[in-house]
Amino acid sequence: MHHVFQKFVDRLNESHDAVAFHQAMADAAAAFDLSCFAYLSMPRDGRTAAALISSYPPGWTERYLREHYERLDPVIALAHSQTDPFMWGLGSDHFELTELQQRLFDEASEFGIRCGLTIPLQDGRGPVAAVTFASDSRREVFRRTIESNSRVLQLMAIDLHAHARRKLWRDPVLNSVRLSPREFECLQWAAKGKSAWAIGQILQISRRTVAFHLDNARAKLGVQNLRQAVALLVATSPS
Amino acid sequence: MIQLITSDRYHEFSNALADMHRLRYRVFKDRLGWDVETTSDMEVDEFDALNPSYLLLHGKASELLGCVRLLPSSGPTMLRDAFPALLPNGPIPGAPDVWESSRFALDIHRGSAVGALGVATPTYELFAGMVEFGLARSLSKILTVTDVRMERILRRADWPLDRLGPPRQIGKTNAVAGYLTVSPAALRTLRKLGGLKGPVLWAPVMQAA
Repeated sequence: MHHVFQKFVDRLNESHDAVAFHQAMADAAAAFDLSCFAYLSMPRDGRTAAALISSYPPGWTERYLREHYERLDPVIALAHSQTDPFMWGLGSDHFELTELQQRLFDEASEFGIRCGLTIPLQDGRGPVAAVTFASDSRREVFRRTIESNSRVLQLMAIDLHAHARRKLWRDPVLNSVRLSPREFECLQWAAKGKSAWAIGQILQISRRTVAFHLDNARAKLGVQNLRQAVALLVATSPS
Repeated sequence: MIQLITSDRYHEFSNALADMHRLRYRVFKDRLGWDVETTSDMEVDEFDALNPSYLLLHGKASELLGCVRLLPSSGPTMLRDAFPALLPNGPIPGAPDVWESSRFALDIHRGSAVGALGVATPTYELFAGMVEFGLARSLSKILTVTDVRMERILRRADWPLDRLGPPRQIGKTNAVAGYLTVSPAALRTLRKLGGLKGPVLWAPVMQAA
């Protein structure tokens, strides 16, 4: 099992695009006898689309998207509200399923997705991603796999998230410079003429923190003052 | 005792790493209320994806008491990428003899042994571990972003931070960037003040079969 983890970490280091991440994840899932592995990012900024990397069978993904199962899926709902990892699956008494939800689970099992473990990830403001390991085994076998490997699986989930954050779900880029979402947000409001105090009111953070984010943005952009940083933003924005 | 975990050994020490992420959650999320990324009871950030070396401080019963993360200054660092505003004179170039420490955390209970000047012994141990790590890698300095409270502790422990700029408020903390000296003299002082009888750092030399 140690080798699976080491190999996974090595592969993550070499992965720089979604295809490479996908391969690393698929191989790790197979090594644990898990049929699938999925990483779902749930960005909050309204600018980046939610994104999924998974080794789910394409037929299932197609059906899922076509039927808009994400609106119905109790696993997704729970990933938004839970901070602890949770197991789900056929015969699980974790959920009270509606008829439609039961149909979703039945259809999933036809594609080899019988039960799963979902590990939600948050930041200070709410959910940001979820990692799922799924299996076509019966519940007891799956439960044993999860329990004997729970630490490694959690570590793999957080490592995957750290690498994906760094390489895939890129922070906003301005003038080839990477700004954090907060820095970019503050700069956008500054460009609209808002003072640091007003921005703090809007974002619910202190004026000094806003000033710090704006100064970070200025430093990263390599300009002398905020006015110049705002000018860069305005110059590169779509009109 | 301080355990060094380098990226080629992560798999051998996966339990210890998980414990480390849990300790970081308790310190940075629970105790300090920082805006960090977490899952259930573990904290992680994107700098963990850069293959850092970690120092883990264990107590007498092998319980995890503290940790710190180390990254070479030649690559991405928190100071460069997350806190450039702490450098009023602009970015500083990386150097092979300078590494950055981050996510320094101690989770020690009341009644922990205390060394000289009211600084807890485990704190001296983790500081000494950092200097031993630096000496083993021929470093001259360790760069760090810390808060003014920890800066005071470093001064009391006679391992003062050489500031790179004035402190700035970030969220809940008053942060400041600076250098810590890596030298045999610094190590001697920390050992003396901490009552440490010898080396604290342990690193595996043999790969597991």
